[in-house]
Amino acid sequence: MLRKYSTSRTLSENIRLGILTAFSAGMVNVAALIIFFSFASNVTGHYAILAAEIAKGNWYQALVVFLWIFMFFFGSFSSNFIVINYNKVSPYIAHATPIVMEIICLMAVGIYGQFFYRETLVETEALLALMLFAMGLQNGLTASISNGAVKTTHLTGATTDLGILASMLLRSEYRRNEEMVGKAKLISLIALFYVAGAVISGFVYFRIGFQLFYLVSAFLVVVIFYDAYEIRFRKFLAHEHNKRKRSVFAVSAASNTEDSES
Amino acid sequence: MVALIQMKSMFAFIALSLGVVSASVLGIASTNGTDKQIVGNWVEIDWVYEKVDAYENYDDAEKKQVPEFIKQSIGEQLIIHEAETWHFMPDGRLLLQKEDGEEELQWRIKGRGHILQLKHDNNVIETFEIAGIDKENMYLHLETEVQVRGIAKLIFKRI
Repeated sequence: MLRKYSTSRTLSENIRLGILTAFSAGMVNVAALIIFFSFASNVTGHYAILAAEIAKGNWYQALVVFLWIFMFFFGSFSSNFIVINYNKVSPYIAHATPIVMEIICLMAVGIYGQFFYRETLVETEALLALMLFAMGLQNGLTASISNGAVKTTHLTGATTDLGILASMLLRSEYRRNEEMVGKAKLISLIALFYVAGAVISGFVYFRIGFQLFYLVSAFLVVVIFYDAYEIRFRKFLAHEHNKRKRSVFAVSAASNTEDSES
Repeated sequence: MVALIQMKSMFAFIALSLGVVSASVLGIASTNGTDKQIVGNWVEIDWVYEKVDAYENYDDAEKKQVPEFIKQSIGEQLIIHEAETWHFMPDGRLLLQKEDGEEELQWRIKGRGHILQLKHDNNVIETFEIAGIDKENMYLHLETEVQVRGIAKLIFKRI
């Protein structure tokens, strides 16, 4: 899910990455809306609010919204910075690091919210900034390693692409285009899992409160360890295969020696 | 040489980013947020219903009342305040002075400072959108379901 980069990624790898991260983003966004009355994973609305607050002369609110947008931007910057600079050292570590950072941010929100949150405005603004940074990290990473194919924290672009694809897939010659069908499948699944995460978050928050963020972190841990497990599993398979090959070779070599001696 | 330039631009960008964040935080800290502006005493002076023009059969007196079916869609938890004095304390307490006595609530500001939440002792939570606030006036919109948002506008004057 995280090891491969850009065009070397397969559709199924993008789908696995897309659905898990979209599910997490949907959960985070709805949690932010319920708890803090603001979105944490999509910034288009924040741009509109920024403009409106500037026009109304509400400088405090304009600065807060500007900071939130900047945190999303900085999250995306950090992700891609890590990917392009450490990809040669280890693609897996370069791609997993932004997810680890995201988990740290979301766990911090969960722990602070559960034990220390007194519902002051400053706390609300700071926790939202942290969540927007986390979502920027996630979106920057998925977009960066999938060459822009997977963007999971907001659905404006995805809905646009889906509309375009749907109109194209009405023609039979495009329906035979596997790449186009695959893209439609990927975007539809991202949208579906984003909404599923959002709906589940809405239900779960009222039962477990801020502990919801531990659940989101758990999904992200799956994203990280899926690849780690796969790498170890493949290494194990390769090791077993080599061992079997060596033993077959040793048996055949021994029988050859016996044949030549006789 | 190229690596050195890359390092320099990286540090320059990070320094710039930290500068932007610090400047924003300083700007936010030096400006009064809604949680500071709201502290003090306010008296309700008017209620305006923005969407009543959709109900043209109502006369002026009826327009001052929220129609029953809208009340139902807003929810049973809605508590209509009228002709009250609101004392917002800095510690998060709100004293509502009514004709028949006094009620103590908790107030919280959420979002970017645009949401006012009032918590009653019986766990009822009322949510308003702060449409505007300055030294003299405060405008609250009832923040409920999206389809009925903006129906009731409460106007306050600082006393």
